[in-house]
Amino acid sequence: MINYDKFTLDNGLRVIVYKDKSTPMVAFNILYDVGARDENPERTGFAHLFEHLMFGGSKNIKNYDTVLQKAGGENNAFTNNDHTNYYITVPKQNIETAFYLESDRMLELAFSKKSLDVQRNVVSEEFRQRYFNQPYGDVSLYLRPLAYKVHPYQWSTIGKEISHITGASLKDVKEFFYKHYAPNNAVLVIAGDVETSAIERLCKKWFGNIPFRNVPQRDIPQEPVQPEKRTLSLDRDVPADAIYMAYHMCGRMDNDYFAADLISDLLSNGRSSFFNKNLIKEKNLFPEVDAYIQGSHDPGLFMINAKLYDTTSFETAESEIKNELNKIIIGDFAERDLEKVKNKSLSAQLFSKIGVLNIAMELAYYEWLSDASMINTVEEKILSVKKHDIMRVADEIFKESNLSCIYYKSKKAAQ
Amino acid sequence: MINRKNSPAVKEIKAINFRRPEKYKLNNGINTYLFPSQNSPVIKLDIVFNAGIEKESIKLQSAFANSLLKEAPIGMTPNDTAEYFDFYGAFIESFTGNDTSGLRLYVPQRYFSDVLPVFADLFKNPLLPQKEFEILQTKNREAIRNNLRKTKYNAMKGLNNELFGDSHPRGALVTPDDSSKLELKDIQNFVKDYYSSPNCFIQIAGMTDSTTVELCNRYLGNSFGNTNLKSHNSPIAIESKTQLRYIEMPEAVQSSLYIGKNLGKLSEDELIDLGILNTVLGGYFGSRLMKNIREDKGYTYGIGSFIAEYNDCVALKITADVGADVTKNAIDEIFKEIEKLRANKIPASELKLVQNFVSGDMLAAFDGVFQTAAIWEKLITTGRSASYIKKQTERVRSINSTDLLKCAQKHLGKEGFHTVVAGKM
Repeated sequence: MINYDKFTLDNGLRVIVYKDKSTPMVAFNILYDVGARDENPERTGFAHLFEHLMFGGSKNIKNYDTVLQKAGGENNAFTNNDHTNYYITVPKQNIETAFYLESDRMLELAFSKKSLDVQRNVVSEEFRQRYFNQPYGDVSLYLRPLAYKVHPYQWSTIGKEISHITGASLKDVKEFFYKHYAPNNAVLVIAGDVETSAIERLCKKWFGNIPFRNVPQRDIPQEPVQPEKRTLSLDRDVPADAIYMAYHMCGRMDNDYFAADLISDLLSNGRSSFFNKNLIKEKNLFPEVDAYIQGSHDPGLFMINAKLYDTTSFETAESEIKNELNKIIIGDFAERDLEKVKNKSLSAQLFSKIGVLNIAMELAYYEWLSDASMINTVEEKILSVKKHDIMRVADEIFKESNLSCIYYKSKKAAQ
Repeated sequence: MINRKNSPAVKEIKAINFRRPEKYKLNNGINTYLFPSQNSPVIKLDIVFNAGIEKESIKLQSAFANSLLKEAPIGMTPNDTAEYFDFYGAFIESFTGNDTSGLRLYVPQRYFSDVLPVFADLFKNPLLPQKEFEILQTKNREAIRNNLRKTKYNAMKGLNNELFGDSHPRGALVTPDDSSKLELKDIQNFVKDYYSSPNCFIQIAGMTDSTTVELCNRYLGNSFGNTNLKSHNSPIAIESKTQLRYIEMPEAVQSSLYIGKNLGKLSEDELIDLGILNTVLGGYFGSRLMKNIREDKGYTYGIGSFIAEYNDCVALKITADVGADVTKNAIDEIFKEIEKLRANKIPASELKLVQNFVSGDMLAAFDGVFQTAAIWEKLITTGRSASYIKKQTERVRSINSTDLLKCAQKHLGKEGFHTVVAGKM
């Protein structure tokens, strides 16, 4: 049971405090409700570029990192299609430094041209490093627009293409900031050896005078039901063929989310999983095959990826994978299998709550989703999934018309 | 009206307090360290063997042994073993390093006594199944084929090859065919020789209680493996004479750089100073390398430097993934930064910043029992004690720019540096 205190400032900033006396560090996590799905389709990659710019100086602070390093702290951030998350860990005696830093950049960024020029280059290099300089790196740049024709999930957080990033202007940056970075659009979590009353004082002191901002109402078009299977072949200089399958599924808040998660566990979580036992060990089809769900807020994708041995054709790969999916649909698995993956999932829940930073991030995430108290109801939700739920949800997800599939073909150059 | 002009006063970190583990000796002599914590109802158990790659006589022997051990004990099939651990929500990781290898068990505390007997049996009575061995061979072949397409992998292996040569396990390059040269008996022999009770220690972190050691004695307290410690001739390292190795990869859009130097054997004091110097050079986000090559020039998304500690020497390594069109520029800038450290004292304000950062970093490294156990493991395997941490903490506070200048001048001279580039130049 995770106990915490919660309060909201007048300007709409939601604050959660988690107490842990056993650690000398405090975690300070701030989540903003803006992600790649909020971007203009002509200006993608912006939420992520912006995350970088947040470190380029704010109204009163020239160098965010230097101030924090002086306080013995560390920080990082990440952006995904749904939200942007910044976090600091700092020795508890220097917690006020975290307040100073985060409140100043929520108040106003420095909007420096030099910072924009540099970060455009840095992000372009990140694009290359992650997507173009790795074998199979560019798959998501093709899979997303294949599966999504309407919804903004059709582009990756990094952006559709490097030119969207290099073309970003300072005006774009300012507009983005005032539209999305606001106290009423953020969740702040502080976890460590702290007292709520002291934290409340610090919040009012540092965040109190930041004004409420008009964040536009989200109006994201729903992705219509996919009418038929979609495929794409890519020829690339990679050593082995690979197959990438994406099925549409529900969003994170849907009642069937946990069933979908457990389905992916049955298929590929752990060495006794069905893919591992049947497709890797018994049938020797793949060196690796994974099933996982994206976990996105809006209706997301159930992913199945596999690398193929030279002796495995795409036809065989696809049909053997579908064979395993079908077993789930018809209930060809034991109750014990379901009990097993529930145990694994509960165990993972336990291990995800080690350390104040992990707890802070989870609390922020659940509060952003709907309410922080969800952190204590996840276990019962996992336990309540029945075998017939698994079968029904599998049947809904694994429809042929629901499938987008990329055949990633190895250009068999002289090897 | 709040004052946003000045940052809040910062309190320096005076000391790093960390709880020493409870130390026990099992009936068979295995040293067992407990790091108790009531925070989470979980247990993490590491069993660490002196069975690293430097003990192998054939390439991949150590990693294969480590991986194959996990499959099953005698008397159970691999499928049954996997089911057993999965059912209890237990996760097992292998880890293989230069000197040590081992297994790490993560399990909810309530299932510890169910899982421990089977976990212990994995290395007391390993099955080492033929079929799984063959699967490992084919998986490894595919993995190496894939890795050889990565600039970063080629650069990293290239530098180790430059520093240590083909015949040393640290420097040997692995090809996709190497796994097929292994036979199962090579794995069986390695396990028998090195996965033995005199050759390991155990660490347990998490919600331990009065039954924990008793359970360890019951399931891990008897002798196993070859109780005569096998003697092994240390491999000989041969450093290359070349300064630049260029691994051309025509499709690359970035080049990976690995630049490094063998600094020989260093005393603890020298190593501590070098560690602080390394932080200035490339060990944190505000480092010389980051500031210049990422934040000023935008050549890279990631650049850093680190100390690689081996059992007989220490190496400084610098790594970056840079745009292919600026490869030569990036290399020049890296060497410029190294020269600057040899020519000029670090300004007082920068030193203060690094001291504070490193102190905070050390404090965070001891945050929680899992982290503390990891630090302790390194102390044991390098033959050090808690006094090393104390020495380190004090030196971070007391070191000055002159000390660091001396350190840079002694160790960072241009001769001896090897540059490896994988990509385009």
